[in-house]
Amino acid sequence: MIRLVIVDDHEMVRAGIRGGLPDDIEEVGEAADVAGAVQTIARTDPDVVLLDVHLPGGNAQEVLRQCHGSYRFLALSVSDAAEDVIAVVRLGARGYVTKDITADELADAIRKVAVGDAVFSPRLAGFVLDAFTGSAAASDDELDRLTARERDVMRLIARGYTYRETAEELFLSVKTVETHMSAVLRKLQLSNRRELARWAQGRGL
Amino acid sequence: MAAGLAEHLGWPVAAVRALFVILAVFGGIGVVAYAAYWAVLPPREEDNSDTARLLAFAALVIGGFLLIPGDPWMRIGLPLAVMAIGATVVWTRVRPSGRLRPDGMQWSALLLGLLLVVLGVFALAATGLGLRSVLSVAAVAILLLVGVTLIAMPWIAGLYRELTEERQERVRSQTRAELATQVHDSVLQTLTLIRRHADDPDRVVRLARAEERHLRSWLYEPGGDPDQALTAALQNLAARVEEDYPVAIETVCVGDLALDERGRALVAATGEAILNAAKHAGGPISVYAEVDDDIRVYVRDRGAGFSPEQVPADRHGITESMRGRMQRAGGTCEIRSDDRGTEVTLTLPRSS
Repeated sequence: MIRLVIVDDHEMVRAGIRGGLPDDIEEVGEAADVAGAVQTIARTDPDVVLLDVHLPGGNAQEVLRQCHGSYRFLALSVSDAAEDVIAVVRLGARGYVTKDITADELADAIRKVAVGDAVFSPRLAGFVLDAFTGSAAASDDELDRLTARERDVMRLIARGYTYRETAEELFLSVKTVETHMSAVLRKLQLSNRRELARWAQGRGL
Repeated sequence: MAAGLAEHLGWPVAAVRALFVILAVFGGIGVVAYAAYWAVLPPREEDNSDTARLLAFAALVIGGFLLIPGDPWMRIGLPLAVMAIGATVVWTRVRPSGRLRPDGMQWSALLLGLLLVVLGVFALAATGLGLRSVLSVAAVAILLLVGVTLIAMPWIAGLYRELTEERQERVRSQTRAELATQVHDSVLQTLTLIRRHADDPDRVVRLARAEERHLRSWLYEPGGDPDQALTAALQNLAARVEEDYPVAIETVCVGDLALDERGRALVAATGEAILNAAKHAGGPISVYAEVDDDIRVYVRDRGAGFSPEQVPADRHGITESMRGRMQRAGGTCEIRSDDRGTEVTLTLPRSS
């Protein structure tokens, strides 16, 4: 059983997510703002926090800063703006999904984050490729570069392939694909590439 | 004429007319000034382009005074008339809002007006005091002016600040109005449409998605001409197909490209691929474009698949629109299809 906290300022969105949860995911708490989220998370000690990127009274990044390290976050947003996504991922979110995701896909993403895997949408994979192309070759820091395999994985995710399909296409195991994705996530969080910093600062989020 | 001046000064017309009559009695200044004003004041249509007319009548005024020398009123009247003309020239260049009229001759006209006023003041003072003392008086006047300006500084600064704030407020309200228009034209209209088609879920989904895309592109991706850039072109394609078919299309682009003839062929082929996927496969469609040494576009659907050999020869969609187009542009078109879906890969070398 995965214990889940939902943080979103829209009651309708929370109700929609709650209603679509499968039996193996249990909602243990809800919050609508930063302070409430920090409190609820500390009180319920969940496995996964589903976190809306745009919260009133501060924003999702504040929640991530205050709870970082001890919990696994999955970011949720209506916007596909690169700066929103990159900023929360760099602060420790293990993945990012948009609100038009289906209930099944969301449950899948929550399960992945619960066991410590990364969740990449095609859009996020596109951002990663965008941010790590170009001047990448000039850098010596391995954090600033994707390996050829990581790049292949990101490309297939961007093309709309599932993890399983990606694994088949590259003749890898699903586990290996997941390892590559975690590595990319780590680079996304730790690299100091100019493009990433620029995106993260984007709207002063 | 008197009415025009009255309007400009905000005085009753009768008072202006009376003033002219009084001035006319005392040595004919009124007549000359009337003529001069007529020359200088812009016509009602705000046509300010007649510099020549202005100069002609300035000459006429001065000439008129030279014709009647020795008149005791003239020593005072001439400078006064010159000042009045100068002031009027300045006034007519300034709008009631305090801003300058935006036409080409405003600066020369302003300068001319100021010069006339200063000339008038000097002449007036000189008749009573003699030239030497006028200069020292002028020096004192300038010092006084500087002093007053210094004292008035806080008020001037405050006024300026107020003006700036007012202008900013105007910009803000303009932005608000723009936003309101956008929301009205798109979101409100769409909501009305959705309510009207509440019993047609397919249509509602399509409307909502099209509106979402529209709003999103307005909010997050300003600019981008679908005729000029690859990313904008592909997003535009996806939006159009989403409007016509009940499918969700996710478009991801890495890098961008200015479109030339070959690029447009690639976009056209992609459009065909997306259309085929929407028509025959339905469901979610992924479009991924990557600009590297080559330009690659992938269109993937999750339909039942098909075998390319079984497409009847009279269905030219795939062969002509996609393969033919790509080959003519120097690129390739690959189609992979199985029971889990179809993926079309379009490749175009960066330069042929």
